[in-house]
Amino acid sequence: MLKKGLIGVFCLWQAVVVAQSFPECPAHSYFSLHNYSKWPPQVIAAGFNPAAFGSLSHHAVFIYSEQRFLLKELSTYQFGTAIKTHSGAFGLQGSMDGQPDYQHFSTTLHYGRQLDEAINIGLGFEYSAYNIKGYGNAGYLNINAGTIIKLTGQLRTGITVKRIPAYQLNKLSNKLKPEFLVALGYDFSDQFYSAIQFEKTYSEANNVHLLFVYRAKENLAFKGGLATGTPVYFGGISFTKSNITFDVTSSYHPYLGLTPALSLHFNISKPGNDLNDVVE
Amino acid sequence: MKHLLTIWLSISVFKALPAQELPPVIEQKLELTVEADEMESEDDSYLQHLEYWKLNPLDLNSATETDLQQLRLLTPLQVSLFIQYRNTVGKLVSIYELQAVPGWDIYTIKKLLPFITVINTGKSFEPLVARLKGGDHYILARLTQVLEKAEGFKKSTGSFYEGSRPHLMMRYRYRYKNNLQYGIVADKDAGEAFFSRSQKQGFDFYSAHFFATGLGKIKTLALGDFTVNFGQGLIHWQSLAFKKSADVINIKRQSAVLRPYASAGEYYFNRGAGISLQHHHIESSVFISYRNQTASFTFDSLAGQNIITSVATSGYHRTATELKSKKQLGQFSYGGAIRYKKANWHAGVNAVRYAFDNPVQKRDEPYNRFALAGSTWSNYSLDYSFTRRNMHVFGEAAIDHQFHKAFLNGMLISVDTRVDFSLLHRFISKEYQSVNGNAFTENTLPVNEQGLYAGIAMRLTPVLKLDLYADLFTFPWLRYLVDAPSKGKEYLVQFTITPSRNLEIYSRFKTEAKKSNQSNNITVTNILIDVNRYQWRLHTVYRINKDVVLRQRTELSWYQKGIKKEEGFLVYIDGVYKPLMKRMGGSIRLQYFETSSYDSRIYAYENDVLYNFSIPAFFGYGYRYYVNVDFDIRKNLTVYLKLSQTNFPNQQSIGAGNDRIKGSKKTEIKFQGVVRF
Repeated sequence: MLKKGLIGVFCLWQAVVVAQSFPECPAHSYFSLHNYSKWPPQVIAAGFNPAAFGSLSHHAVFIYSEQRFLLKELSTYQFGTAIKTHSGAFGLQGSMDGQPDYQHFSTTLHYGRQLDEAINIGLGFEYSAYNIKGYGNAGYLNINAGTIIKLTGQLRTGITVKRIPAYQLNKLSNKLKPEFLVALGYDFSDQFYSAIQFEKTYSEANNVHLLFVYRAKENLAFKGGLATGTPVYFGGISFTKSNITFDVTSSYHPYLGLTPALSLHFNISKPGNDLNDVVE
Repeated sequence: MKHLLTIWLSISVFKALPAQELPPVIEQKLELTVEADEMESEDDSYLQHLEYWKLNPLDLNSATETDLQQLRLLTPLQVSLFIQYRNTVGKLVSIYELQAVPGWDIYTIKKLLPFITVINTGKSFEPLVARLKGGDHYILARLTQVLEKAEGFKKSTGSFYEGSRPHLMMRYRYRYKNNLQYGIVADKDAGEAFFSRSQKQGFDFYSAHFFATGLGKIKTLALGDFTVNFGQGLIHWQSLAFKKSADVINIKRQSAVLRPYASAGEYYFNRGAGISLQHHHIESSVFISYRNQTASFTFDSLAGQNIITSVATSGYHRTATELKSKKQLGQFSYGGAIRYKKANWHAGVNAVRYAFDNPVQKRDEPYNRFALAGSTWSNYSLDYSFTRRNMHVFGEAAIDHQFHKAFLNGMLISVDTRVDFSLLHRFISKEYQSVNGNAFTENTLPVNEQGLYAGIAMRLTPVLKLDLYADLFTFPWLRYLVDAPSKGKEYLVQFTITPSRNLEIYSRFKTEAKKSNQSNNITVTNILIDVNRYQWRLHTVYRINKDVVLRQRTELSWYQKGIKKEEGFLVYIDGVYKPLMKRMGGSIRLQYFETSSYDSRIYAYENDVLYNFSIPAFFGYGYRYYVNVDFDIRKNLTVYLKLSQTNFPNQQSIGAGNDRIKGSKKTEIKFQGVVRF
């Protein structure tokens, strides 16, 4: 009970003092490092760097859920879809965090495209809303931007800038904090991939994410990594059957415990079969 | 064949580098030097040399050892091995032959390509009079101004800037090959008067130089302003000198004894005359100089004279206090060096003596107990070097006016075609002092330091290089803000990956641990606490095509002093556009930085107008951008423009004192025109 109370106070402090979106849990944010592999990114990953939408090879939908520190009150649900067109790809994602006393909603419209073989760019337009019982509401419009550069066949780098600019819809709400992510990913082989991401959110500690992915088989992958800002370790398994990919992950915080997460990706079209499935 | 093709392709790629595009290793060295000294230098001599060599590549068949050293891209061992190779085999037939030179790998050659060539005609020196025609002239005019008005320009009482806001610099220079040059420099800093008030003669600083080489027995003649460089810098070194960097093998000071001075910096040079004579294997140099320096002083009523307490190196004469210090220290200096040089070794004797119009006595603080004092000073040293096979050894032993000792010895070994090793030991007694020393030390001056430095550079694979160094040092006596003898250590590890000729990535981790006085101390004696710094940088340079280069850097810093912990973060992305045979080029940068305070600051090299570089320290929270444009109006007239702005969203003012600007933005504009004829 005390633990729940403390976590609740923590969330409230985060929301009231800094109006920051819920701190990303590494089990979720590790998806962002997938964007720098030669393999087409998953839609949930593309949401972290909108430039990744330019590399999507199919239409897709996904859902994601996690229960932070095994607390119902700290659950997160996400859904999203991506539609590939001749001139890039559009994505729509929504998320909901929290519980009736403290809730956060967001909806983001993404667009990403390839400028040429080596460079992708993307934009995201995000609407966020907070509803805190006893304190009121806060709303924001943010613009996120990103780029991914293919340096070699195996090496990619990317930069994402979030919440620059950020517009407060409610003058009572505090400003959102800008965030910068810089990542480098390397495909050692078809079986092994690794990526590193530097993350900086205003007034928060420097954060470095590391990800390792081992594809044991074409439809089975093992993933692991860590984040340094608040030391957290995460691991997961990804299994693909036909057009569906299941991702089961968990992160571990030394004091607060486990955060399990599950995601489901569904490819609407077959990879590479763009001529039949592209929306006119 | 593959290597030959690589070199040929590299020639065509790297000659397309923009005018002020320095090799990444040089950018790093400049950054770390500014970081160590905590101030930027106005000495652009090196940039002038690089630009000259780009336009007039150095002929390797006639280049002297000194010419190769001036490039600052070769280790002493590489220079020595090249000279030996050329003396043994004869002149190079073509540039492709460079791969046959021992110790020169493909990466060294690529670094040099924009600045070198191979010509098969011998070097000849024309008579002095003949060199006065047929050379190149250029006139440069630069204006720099911060658009926001600082407090110092708003006031008219108390401490205020008496002059106008623009920083003006003008330079005229004539150069005939590398054998003769002369010119004039005039500089006015922002806030200094201009043809008014205290500066009726116009600019605050004037400099003129005349420099010639290869006049028969006269190897070098310097008149006007020039720099003097002896040995390894224990007694006198005024040219640009790098401290520790990821170029872990380049630890030896290398330069000719006399060098021309044509920069706007107002401190690190001599004014008078110098000459070097060469007779067979013996080179002898002498110089004489008199300068009026800016210095703070107190009046000693007993002695009835001013006592100099400190010498100013900034060159600022803007306020009444700064103007009062102008030309307070007349310094007469003279000295010389005799060097005996054979193919593989040399030995030299150096001496320099100073006489001050007013005696020098630094503030009476414990850390100044052994500081230089009096009306005269002198330093003497012996220096040596020798090369044997794959090993180069060098060193210097010095004494000062009061016979206090300093030693510096180093060794470079190429243990394998892919592995180089460096070692340097310095012992500088706590009493040893020099006026213009600049050696490879942790301190800015070679004083009060003992240390051992070891570095290793390894080419692990054709695309992966590892450089690392470790430096352990002690300070036997007190230092400023360190009230006891102390120790320190510094480590650096850098991985550089060049998977293709269009891409270079390096990741560098550096850590430094020293001691400092405890903050907010309430005891009679200060307690020393640990001060630790960690920096991690990831830097990518990607050439998209022959005209466009993208660069991206992410740097994290951590600072800890006792229980106080701070972090810093900096990220930038910039693009450089420099098409061949086109009249216009430029660069643009977008940058974000966030550090807790000045202690966790991060330095970042910036492209600037021609012959200028900028390495600001970033601290606080903010964004920065700049745009550089250069445009060839005509074949011999180029204009350069730099617009930069730093935005500190959370601040209502920037800076302090007379430099304080109200508001959260600081915008600077720089305009430069260069005419060549």
